[in-house]
Amino acid sequence: MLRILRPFSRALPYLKRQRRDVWLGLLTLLPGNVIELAIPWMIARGIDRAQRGDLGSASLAWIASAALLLVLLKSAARYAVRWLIIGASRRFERDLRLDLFRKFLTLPSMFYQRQTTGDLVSRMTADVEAVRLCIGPSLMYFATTATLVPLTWAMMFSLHPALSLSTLVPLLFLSIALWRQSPRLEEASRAAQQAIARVCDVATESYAGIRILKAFTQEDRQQRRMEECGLEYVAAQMRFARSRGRTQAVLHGIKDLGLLVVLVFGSWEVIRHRFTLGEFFLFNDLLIRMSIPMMTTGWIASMLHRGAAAMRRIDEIFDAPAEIVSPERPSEDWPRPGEVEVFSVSVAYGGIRALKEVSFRVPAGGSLGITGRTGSGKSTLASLLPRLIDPDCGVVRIGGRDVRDWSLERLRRECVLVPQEPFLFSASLRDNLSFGLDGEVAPELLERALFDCVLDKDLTSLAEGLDTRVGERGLMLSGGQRQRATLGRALLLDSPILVLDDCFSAIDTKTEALILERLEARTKDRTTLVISHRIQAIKNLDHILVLDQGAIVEAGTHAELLRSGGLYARLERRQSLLSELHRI
Amino acid sequence: MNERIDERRGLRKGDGRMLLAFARFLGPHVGWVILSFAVLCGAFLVDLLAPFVIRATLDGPVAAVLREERRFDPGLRSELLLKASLFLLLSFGGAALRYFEVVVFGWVGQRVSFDIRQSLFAHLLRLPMRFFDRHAVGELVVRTTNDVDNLVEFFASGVAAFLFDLLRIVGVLTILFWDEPRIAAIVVLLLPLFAVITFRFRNKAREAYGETRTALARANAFAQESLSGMKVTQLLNQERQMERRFCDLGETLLKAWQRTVGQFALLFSMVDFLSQAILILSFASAAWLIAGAQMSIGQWTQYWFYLHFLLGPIRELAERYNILQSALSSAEKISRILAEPLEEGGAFTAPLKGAIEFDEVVQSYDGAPPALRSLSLSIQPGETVAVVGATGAGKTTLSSLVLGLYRCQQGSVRIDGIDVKDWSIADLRRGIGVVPQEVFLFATSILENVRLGDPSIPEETVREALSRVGAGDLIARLPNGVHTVLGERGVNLSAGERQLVAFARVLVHQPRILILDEATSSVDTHTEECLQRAVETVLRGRTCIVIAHRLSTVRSADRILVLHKGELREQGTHHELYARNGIYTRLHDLQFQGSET
Repeated sequence: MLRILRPFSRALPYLKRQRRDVWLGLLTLLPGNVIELAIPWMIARGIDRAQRGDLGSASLAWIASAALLLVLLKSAARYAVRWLIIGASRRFERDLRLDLFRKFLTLPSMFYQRQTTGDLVSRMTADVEAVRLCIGPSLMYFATTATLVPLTWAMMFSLHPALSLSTLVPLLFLSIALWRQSPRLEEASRAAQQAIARVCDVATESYAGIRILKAFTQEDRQQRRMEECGLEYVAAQMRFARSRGRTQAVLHGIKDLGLLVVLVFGSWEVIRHRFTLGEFFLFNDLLIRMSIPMMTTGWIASMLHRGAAAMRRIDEIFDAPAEIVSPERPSEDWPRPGEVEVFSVSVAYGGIRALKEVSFRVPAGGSLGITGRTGSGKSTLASLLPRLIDPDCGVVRIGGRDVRDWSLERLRRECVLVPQEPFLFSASLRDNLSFGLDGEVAPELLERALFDCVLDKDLTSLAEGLDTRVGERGLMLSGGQRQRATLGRALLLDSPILVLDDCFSAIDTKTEALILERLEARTKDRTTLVISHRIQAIKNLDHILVLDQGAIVEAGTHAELLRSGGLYARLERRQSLLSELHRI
Repeated sequence: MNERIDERRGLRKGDGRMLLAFARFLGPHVGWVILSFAVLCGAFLVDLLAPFVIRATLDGPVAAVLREERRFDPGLRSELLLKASLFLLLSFGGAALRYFEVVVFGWVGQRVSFDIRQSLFAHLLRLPMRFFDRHAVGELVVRTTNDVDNLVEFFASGVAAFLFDLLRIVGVLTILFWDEPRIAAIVVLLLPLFAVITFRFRNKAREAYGETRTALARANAFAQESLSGMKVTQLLNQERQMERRFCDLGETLLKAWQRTVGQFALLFSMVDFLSQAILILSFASAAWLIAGAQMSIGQWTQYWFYLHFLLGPIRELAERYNILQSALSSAEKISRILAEPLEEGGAFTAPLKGAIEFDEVVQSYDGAPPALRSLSLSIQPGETVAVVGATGAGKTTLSSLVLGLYRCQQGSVRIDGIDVKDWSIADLRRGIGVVPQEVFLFATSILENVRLGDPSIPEETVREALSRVGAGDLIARLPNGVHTVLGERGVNLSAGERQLVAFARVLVHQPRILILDEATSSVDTHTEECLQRAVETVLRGRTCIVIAHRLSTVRSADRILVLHKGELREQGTHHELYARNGIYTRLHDLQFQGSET
């Protein structure tokens, strides 16, 4: 029992915050449960009196209205309990989820590369909900069972000790049976879930591969595969059904056994005048009333199992190291503002070296182009500057200081990176553009940014201009528009250092040239790093680095690199052939 | 998240007919259906009888002794024991019937859902490619799984439970009226009130829940979005703003939840109050009758059990309605798919000879610029033709049209002089072998993947084909040789190895026309050599279309077709084309540059 509660230790402080409502709820539970038992007692007494013939219509009316009033009170108490405890569990849920979200905000991008978003979201939703079910409903039902059952039993005991003891035995069996059966039920249900997952796999495989399936006329065969999986699913569901059926039968049988004891033993005692008929009725009623809370024990058990597993998954997030954090005492001055220096930097992912001893320096206001084939380490290099990742060895300096000496916030205001994948939020275009700014953005600044990223002409084709909602991940916009919008978002920040990580890939060459032209006019004193696999995008920059397998293999200006006839020259030749082909 | 609540659509005309159309799936299982209702009726009968035994005990021997009409003697004792055994028997019977009820209903439901799923799946597999262009895979998977289950749950727990509830209500009321009309009258007067109030409050609670779901969906969407865009948030220093927004969403959600919790608390308290009130009022009238000696205690105890039978189903009424709604919306979606016309084939059947003609073919996909514009070409039986072109030139469309996966919008595609649309689909596709770029392997043994379900092909032939395409080493390396079962989508083979298996397939099945879609992904040199040999082995004597991405393989082709922007721009041998200094020359140089860099 206690073992099952241990995983919840991290949830305890959150529960403590709600302790007032939880305690109030638990306290209100008691009078409600006392009334729950008082009603059948009153009915039983009434029956006895009616039978003895000393129940006049006046006192009957009095009993009935008193009972109705009590029932009303009980319902009010029930309402309050639910409102207090379930309400508290909802606040608990909100707090836990908010803290989880706060934790997510501090986790480095490496963490997000290892996990799927769906899985992380499910920890914030399904898992938090599973824990809440333990804190709220499970607690409430457990408290109900824990008070109602002893109270009922005490009442039965006071009326007839021997009979109450003998009816209790089957009910105890019931609880134990359910407590034990529920993990088995859960197991069967999980097996059924796995079987439907296989059906899902076959369906997904077939619909995704429909072209090949048809080309090979494999419809019949795939249908047979679906049949096999479907039959397995039927079998798993039937195992689940049998398990459920057994539980139902046990529930029913054991409850009836209690009634049987009352029937035999109770009638015997009535005949012996040691038990009244009203009491006989009362025992029947109490047994039925008690069986419902006892039935919930199985439910509580499975909720606790599920909640414990969910809590462990939540703990994994809380325990994940933040890795990239601001130093305790961030440095406040930078000797050479706007300068970028990478010195002997190496980075490895899972044993593979992405960057090997890379060094370069870009003076304030200078521009640098970096090119190379896919997987040559370009994006890794870009991620180092705003500390999306930290190097394994070597130093990255910005403004003449190690980036690890800056506060993250200050560093990322100084150096803005436009990442490769154009991510927009499902808000209006305006909100997306001003995302990096706190507060309102001046219209003329917005206009300038739109002009600089060549998005101004597109506005007319958008239904509501700047107020057009761009849809989930910005999918209402074309790939090129998305990339230009992310660029505009970065330009609005007007940072001293701008890093463009291959963010023109979906933009046609003409527009790209226009953007670069406008950027250059605007960025006289801005340090600019442009990473691109397209030579076109970097050829006019002050200096160009060519990366291959994580190392700098060539460096120089466009003209120098072409003359040397190396990798850069070959890349250039290939790209011009492609564009020639495109023009034919 | 529960999809069910979302789908509140109300009832519409024609819904009944639609559900009735699905009832035909019950047909083959009519025996089981009858059995399940027999079990239900049996369980109900036992439910009714057990309180009757209690009544009989109380009003019979017990009352007789209390009235001092009978003495306590062995006869009485055996009478009591008889009643007790009867009760015990009923209990056991009841428990057993409960078990059978769950199992038999589960069986019928599962069989029906299996049948519906199978026919839906079979239908889907035979729909034309255009259907799959319009529908996302995920959506179709949901139709095949969740929607089928939803629909069947309606038959199992919806219709069946509703009939059972109806049986219980009618049965109990009949007995009550017959036995004690005065109590029955009170119940009949109060029950509709109870039903209406419960129904209304439950729907109110559902409505509040609907609002909560909207807030929940919003919060979840925000969480989803901010997690996938975490990099942007961190890069632009917006952690605090995102936190604030999430906090606000959480607050809105909490408010919605509190309303919902309140509504549900009200509903539960109300239901509790009303059912207790019905019990108390029935008690009051019963007590009055007992006092007037017009009713016995046994009778009252029996009624008291019966009242519980009545209140349960009425409490569930709103829930049943919700199941019905969700089933209707699923049924609607499934019917819509089942109504889609199947892929149409012709009746022409003959062994394929291998001549291919394209006559001014125009082909475009929904909303996109034409993939092929007025393409004409002809390929002789036994000829090997290479098709080259940049990405998007229309190469893949060409093979789709030959296979009849799509119908061209204008012009015609003829195989052996017969229009593709007149061929029987199975004959046509069986005569054409495809080695695609992304080889699709089933999650069965390699042997089965090569045989493709044709048992007449001996294992020896498969082994020989595999070693001829150079997969002999691969087979020797695998734990169970050709009997090794592959993981989903053949994940435990490399892309190159999968292609070797696909080549073996083609060798074994001896198609007249072969379409080779070369892999663009780089395979290691050893596998590439194997593939090269495999191609040569396979090509002999067949009409072959090689969709070439690597120009090194096209030199051996009889003829090279150069597709550019959906048109046939150049054709000839490698030397003729290269000398022309046109598109082919550039493609070739590009390739050359690419292989060097």
